[in-house]
Amino acid sequence: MTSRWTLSAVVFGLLIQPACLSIERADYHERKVDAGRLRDGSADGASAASECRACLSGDGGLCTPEFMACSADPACGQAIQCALAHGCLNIADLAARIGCATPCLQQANIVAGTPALDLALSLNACASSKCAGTCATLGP
Amino acid sequence: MRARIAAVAALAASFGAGTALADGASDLESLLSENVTTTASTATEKSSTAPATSLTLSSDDLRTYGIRTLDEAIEFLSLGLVTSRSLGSPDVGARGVLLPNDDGRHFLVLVNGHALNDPLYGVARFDQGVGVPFDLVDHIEVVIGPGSVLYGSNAMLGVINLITKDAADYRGGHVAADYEFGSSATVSAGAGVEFKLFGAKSELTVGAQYYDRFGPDADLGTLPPQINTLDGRPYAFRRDGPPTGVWGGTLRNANFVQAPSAMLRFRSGSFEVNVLASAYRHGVPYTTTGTNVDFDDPESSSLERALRVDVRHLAVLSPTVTLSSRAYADSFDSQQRVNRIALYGCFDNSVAVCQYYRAGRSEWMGLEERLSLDWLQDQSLVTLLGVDGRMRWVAAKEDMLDFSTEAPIGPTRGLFRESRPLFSPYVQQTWSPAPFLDLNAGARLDAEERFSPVISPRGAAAITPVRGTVFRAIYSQAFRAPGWIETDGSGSHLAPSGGLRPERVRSVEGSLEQRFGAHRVLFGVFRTWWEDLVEPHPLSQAEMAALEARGILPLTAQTVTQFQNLSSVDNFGYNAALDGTLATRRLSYGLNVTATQTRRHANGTEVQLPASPTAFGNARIAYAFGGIAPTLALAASYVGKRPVDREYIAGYERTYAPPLGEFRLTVGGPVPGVRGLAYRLSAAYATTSRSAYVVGPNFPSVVLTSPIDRFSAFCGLRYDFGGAEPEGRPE
Repeated sequence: MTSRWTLSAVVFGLLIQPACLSIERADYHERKVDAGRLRDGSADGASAASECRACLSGDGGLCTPEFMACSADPACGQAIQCALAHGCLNIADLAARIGCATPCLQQANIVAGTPALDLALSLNACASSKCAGTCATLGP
Repeated sequence: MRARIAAVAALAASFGAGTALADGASDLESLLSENVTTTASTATEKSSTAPATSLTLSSDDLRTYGIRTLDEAIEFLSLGLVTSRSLGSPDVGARGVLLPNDDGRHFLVLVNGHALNDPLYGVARFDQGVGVPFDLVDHIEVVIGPGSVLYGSNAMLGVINLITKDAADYRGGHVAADYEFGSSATVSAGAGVEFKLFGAKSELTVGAQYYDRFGPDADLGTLPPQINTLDGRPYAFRRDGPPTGVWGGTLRNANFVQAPSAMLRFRSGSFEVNVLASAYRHGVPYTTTGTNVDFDDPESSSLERALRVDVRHLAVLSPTVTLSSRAYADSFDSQQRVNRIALYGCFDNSVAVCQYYRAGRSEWMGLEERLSLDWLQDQSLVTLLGVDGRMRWVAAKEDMLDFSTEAPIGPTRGLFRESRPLFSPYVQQTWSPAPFLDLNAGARLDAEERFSPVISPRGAAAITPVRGTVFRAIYSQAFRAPGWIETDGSGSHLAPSGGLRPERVRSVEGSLEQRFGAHRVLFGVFRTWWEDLVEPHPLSQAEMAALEARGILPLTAQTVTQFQNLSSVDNFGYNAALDGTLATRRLSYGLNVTATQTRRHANGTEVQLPASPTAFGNARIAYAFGGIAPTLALAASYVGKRPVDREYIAGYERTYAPPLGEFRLTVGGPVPGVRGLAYRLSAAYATTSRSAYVVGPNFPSVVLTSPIDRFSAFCGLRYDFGGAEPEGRPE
């Protein structure tokens, strides 16, 4: 019986050692804002986002009617919240802004022909014109 | 094969009351053709009276019919089981219940009684990913139907036990290689030796195998062009391809598998040690229901690794009492790297390509003690008491990386680490009160903290009114504890489950088996009920928004699923088998047929179970000329029409995969003039090129399914040396 458990102990000792694959949290640091991606909450980025949001949805905001109309539609509301969260509307370059917002629209199942797309485009047009001074300010 | 015959002989000798010894040529032939199994009740017994529908696939059959993997063995040789192949890991179903993209979670797969399914994912593989050098396999025991009574979780569809060769059957050295044209290559080597160690009869068998699949190129077809309606530009679906807006085409780079495996089995006296090590790396070539990936990217892949140790000891304490002890430990990890164009896949345009890196690790170790009490010392009244205690450690996470630098571009999601024990006592009573009656009843309790304790009972009765005729009735239950990835996992595309219950299945079945010399006819009927099946439920926009509002999902979440106890299944049907040998066992044949009616119930709807055929079967015939002449073998399988695997996705139109017939002709034998060298040539043909697995993004108006290689052929050579006189077997 002694040899039995000795053998077992040796074998198990070999296995108990830590496994090769590490399951640890990735060493991720939020990046500095660039091209309108405002995830780091840097002063400039946060300020730009805040000013843009105020222009879009604040009391007396220049695009508040468009924003309210969009928010009344569940899909458009979801997409625009997503786009705002990622700072897409702060991007000056239209192509870059569309690229940034496309996943938001996909997520909300907004495609050509849906009313939500018209609402979103209307808000985008407003943000690019009436709120251009505060929203579409960050380089591509 | 010799082991099988020896086992039958031993069985016949031990059955004094229950089995008459063969006293004529016909009886002997009948006895020799009788399958025996150890998996159904852990005792060696005839398949016909075992407490479950059982079958044994011998290595001779595997070699004769050109079988190189477990799923092929099931497809061409088994009763009641069906396989379904995409370009990924194959699925296996039983008696009309095949759960697509299941990764083997509902079968318990054993190697010499050691369970392979891990607690994190619950997966078991049926192709080269099973992790055992196939040349070492002596026979495969299949128990069809619920088997949790002795084995616990996962044994819902059945239990598959790969039994490896004794050194006596694998004496000397063995090297083998085969090449499938345009598709794959396999090399293997092994050895078996018998010796004395400290005066005890000892033996060692070792084997290693490397499998490399590099093709074939596969044409998946294409979906209609898709345009980004905002910028008017076509979508891009390939990492390094132009933005054509077209998903699909020909797979040239990502249809690959690399699978090394090695095994050692050591016996000395009453000790036995099994060690298995394996890796299984395969491409993730296209988008499926579970994975969204850039098309044909060779850098998108999955890797599974396993190291397993099993130490057991058998102590005969008295003529009545036998104690079997087993200590085991397993380490299993999985890594998946899936690349997407970052803008679409990771909601990030700061990098061109992002990579989802999903990693999971599980380790478990335990001790199983099994006490067998043979009250009358003739196997007619045996009580089995067992307890299995184990500790499990699991961990998993998901990272989002920049493909080019592997630097994280987002925080780690879904990181969890858990460790919990599992305690499982079980009992089984077998009783043969009369020569014509065999009874078996048992139950197992599995208790762990995630769920309420689960009891899995089984009762069986076999009546042998006259020699060669067996009536059998069985009731059994089984369960599957959801893997930790299902209960605790989360990520960019997976919402936390919020609580799951174990899946359960109940089964009743009856069968009649009749033997005529070396021929056997079996007919059985069955009915099963499945409850609380866990499935990935695609979340609606409203469901996602609710989870986003609670901060459970990020705003960037796109296509998200959540594991839920979503459906139930009930089915009934029959299966029938005819097999035997003729011409002094030179000619062997077999025919298996199963027909079922299986319905899936979810959300108030009832549909045919996706990817599950209502009729399937196989047939085979082989003739061994003997000497240096070859053995000719023809095997065929049939799978009836079945719905594609996305049948139950809302809005998906009903589409069926066409019936599939496969034929495989194999020729094998010794190479004349070269002692120990044997060859095998095999060619296969499939009647259709389309499987039941939809590929690509959901696009309801067009259904593309993964292709099946219609023509394939392989050749193989095998060289045995330093052992017993070669038997002239085919390679």
